[in-house]
Amino acid sequence: MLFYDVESRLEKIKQQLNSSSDVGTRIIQKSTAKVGIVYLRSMVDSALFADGICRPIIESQHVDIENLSSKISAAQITQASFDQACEKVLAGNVVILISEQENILAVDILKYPARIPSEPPTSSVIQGPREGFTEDIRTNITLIRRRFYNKNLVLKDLFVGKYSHTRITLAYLKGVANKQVVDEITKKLESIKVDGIIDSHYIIKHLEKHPRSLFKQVGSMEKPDIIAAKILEGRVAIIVDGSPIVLTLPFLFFEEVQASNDYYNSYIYASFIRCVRLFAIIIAVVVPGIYIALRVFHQNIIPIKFLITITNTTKGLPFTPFLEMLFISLLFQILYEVSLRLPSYLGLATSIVGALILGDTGVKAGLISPPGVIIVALAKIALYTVPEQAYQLTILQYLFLFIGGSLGMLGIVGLLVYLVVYLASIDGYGAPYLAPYAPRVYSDLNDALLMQPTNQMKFRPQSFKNRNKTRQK
Amino acid sequence: MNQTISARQTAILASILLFANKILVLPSLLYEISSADGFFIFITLLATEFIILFIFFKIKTIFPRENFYQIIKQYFGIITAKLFYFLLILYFFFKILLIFNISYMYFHIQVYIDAAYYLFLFCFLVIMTTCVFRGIRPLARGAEFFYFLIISCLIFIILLSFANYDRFPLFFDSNPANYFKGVFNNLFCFGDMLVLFVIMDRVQLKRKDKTMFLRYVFTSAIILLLIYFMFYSIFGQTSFIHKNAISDIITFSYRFIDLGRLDIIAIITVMFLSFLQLSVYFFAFCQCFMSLFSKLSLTYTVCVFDLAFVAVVASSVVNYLTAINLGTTVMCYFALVLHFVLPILVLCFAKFRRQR
Repeated sequence: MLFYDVESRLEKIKQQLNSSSDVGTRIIQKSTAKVGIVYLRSMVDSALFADGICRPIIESQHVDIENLSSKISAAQITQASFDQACEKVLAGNVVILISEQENILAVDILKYPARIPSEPPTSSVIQGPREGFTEDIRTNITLIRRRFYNKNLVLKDLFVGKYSHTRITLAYLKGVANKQVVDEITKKLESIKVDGIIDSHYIIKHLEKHPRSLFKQVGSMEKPDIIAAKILEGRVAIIVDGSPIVLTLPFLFFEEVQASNDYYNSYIYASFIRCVRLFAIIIAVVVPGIYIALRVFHQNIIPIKFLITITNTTKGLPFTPFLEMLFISLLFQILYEVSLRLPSYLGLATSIVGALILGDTGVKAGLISPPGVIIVALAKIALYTVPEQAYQLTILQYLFLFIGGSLGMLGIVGLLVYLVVYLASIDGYGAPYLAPYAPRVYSDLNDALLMQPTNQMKFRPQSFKNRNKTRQK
Repeated sequence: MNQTISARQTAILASILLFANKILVLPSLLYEISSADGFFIFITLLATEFIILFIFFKIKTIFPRENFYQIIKQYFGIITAKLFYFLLILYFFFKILLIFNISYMYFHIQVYIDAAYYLFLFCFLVIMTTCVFRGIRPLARGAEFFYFLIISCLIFIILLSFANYDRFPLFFDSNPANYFKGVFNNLFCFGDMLVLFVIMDRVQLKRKDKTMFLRYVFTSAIILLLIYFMFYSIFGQTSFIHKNAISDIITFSYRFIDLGRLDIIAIITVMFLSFLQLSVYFFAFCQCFMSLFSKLSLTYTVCVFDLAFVAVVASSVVNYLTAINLGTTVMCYFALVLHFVLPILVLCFAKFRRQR
């Protein structure tokens, strides 16, 4: 029958794939039938292709779908209709067509260059697991799956992106995660109509309830142990193919103060270090603004000895206090951007230029004052105690700097009040952003700023909806 | 969006509002009227807050989900309801003016010597407006977030201040008539629990929550009592000079003089309190305005308030002195009607109807 002719069907698939240069085809003539093979050379394991697919076909006596399915031991084999052939090829399958047979065989031997799991640079630990996610979704799923030898870990695939058709996998614990939240996230992901998803950050704005907000509303991690812990708490993990960052929802503000290290150390030290982190956030955001406010509006509350020091060091500066601080802050920002983009071998040169030439010479030339440099340096270093929030905090830092310079302490306190009220208004997926502090959720306070020993954490977080409250008995 | 707030959040709002107008100029004003017996005026007026709170609990039990405007309308008719709500609008507007002016004068003297009046107007108006647009739930959560900090700072101030018991002025030294005059004249500075009536349909209050509610309000009341006690103990006969009670009790304590200006703690605490109190009162104003003119949106209401407030403040119709003067004269009658007459009438009618 001409309709099931191998050559014409291979040609049809090639046309559908726009005769791309990496499309490989092969026809094997057997005594009883013709076998056509089509695949993407860039996406399959060539060794497995030769030994696991071609060899069994050549060696088999009877060529039909059932017989080949049992002979090919290479990998997962599925039967599909001819209409799905193109899609299967694009997904890294080898598609096998047999003359006079309507259905096709798709053999998954997808292989592409992928790095092995290594410790992520953004969340290194002193004690605890060191593996991190990679860009390969299958590796990432394995890293999560091997922490749950349980049937209740559900993995749900979605494909998003008109051209990229990116695989997105939701991971959650059935019976623990709230079904409404899972459904809401699924609906949001399905409603995304974009050309392509290159990284998980592409979908963050689609998932956020307040996409224009400065603040992060979706958790993002590079470490499978943290993701597993979040899933155990009843959160939903979102794994995107091609991205080493796995997203979690619902997300709370105080998650940023927590780190995986906390759970691998003494709970007393963890509580202390969490307080230090929060203190560092406050320093990073408000200290430059307070310094400006004190110099411009409230000189009368600066202790006299400190005031004399400031007056002596700022005497003769050509800039106003606000402009001076803005100048130093922008200088730091430029150096930071340069150091990110320059090759590492130029890092030392940048440090010398930044610290010695610009900083020291700036002070000696009378352009900037030593207290100003110290304040900005302190604030900028403090930013990186929570590196995930550094960008948001930088913007807040400038905002407080501006408010402190123009309105003084009243402006700073007013902005703080507004920020807290604003953050309190964010409710993402049934989780109040400032929980467990506003609203107060007492049961969650054992793993908030202060931490209890892990054996005391009897319940899952109640700041967001869970189906199963009890974590341990 | 009809946001609801928990009993705890409502208790915290009530607890924070209890400090409004009371920790800066009022102690010296009470001393001026009735010397050391001002302390009793304060206790009497503080008790009125609990009376209003008690009436609120009763009404809330009878009408767990109803709006206060609807209740008045149901019992007294639409005209009376509109009249009462018009009075409430004026009441809240003037309350905001009073808190603003007292706070302005305090900050001006303490930390903003050279700053213009408009700086304060801009700061307060922008924050109040933006907070009100967020709604009562974020506002209550914000208050919940800062509550521990505010209370800790106030306790810290009390611990820092040095009470000189020898200087405590004699009680019952003044004419009893002054006591009654003082109670009546300062009615307007109290009655902060009235806000609860306006937001009662948004409050989730169960019978078991009342103890917790009272615990929060009692904490604030005890802190206030301690502040007044410290104030009269430290300043004695000169209490009438000290117009910034919360700062002065630290500034004039010689125990920690080497640590520099510790009153900055008081200043920052008052800043937090002022922003939260003004925002809650502004919200109450908007609620009343929108109940009275049901077709008007929140944006329109906020614009009306902002324009009226800027006009009154900028034209100096009401400044620090006139605000205190009006607060202790005309507004006392408003306070009498709104604090007591209205809630008691509503409670009586509700009880009577229920019995029938």
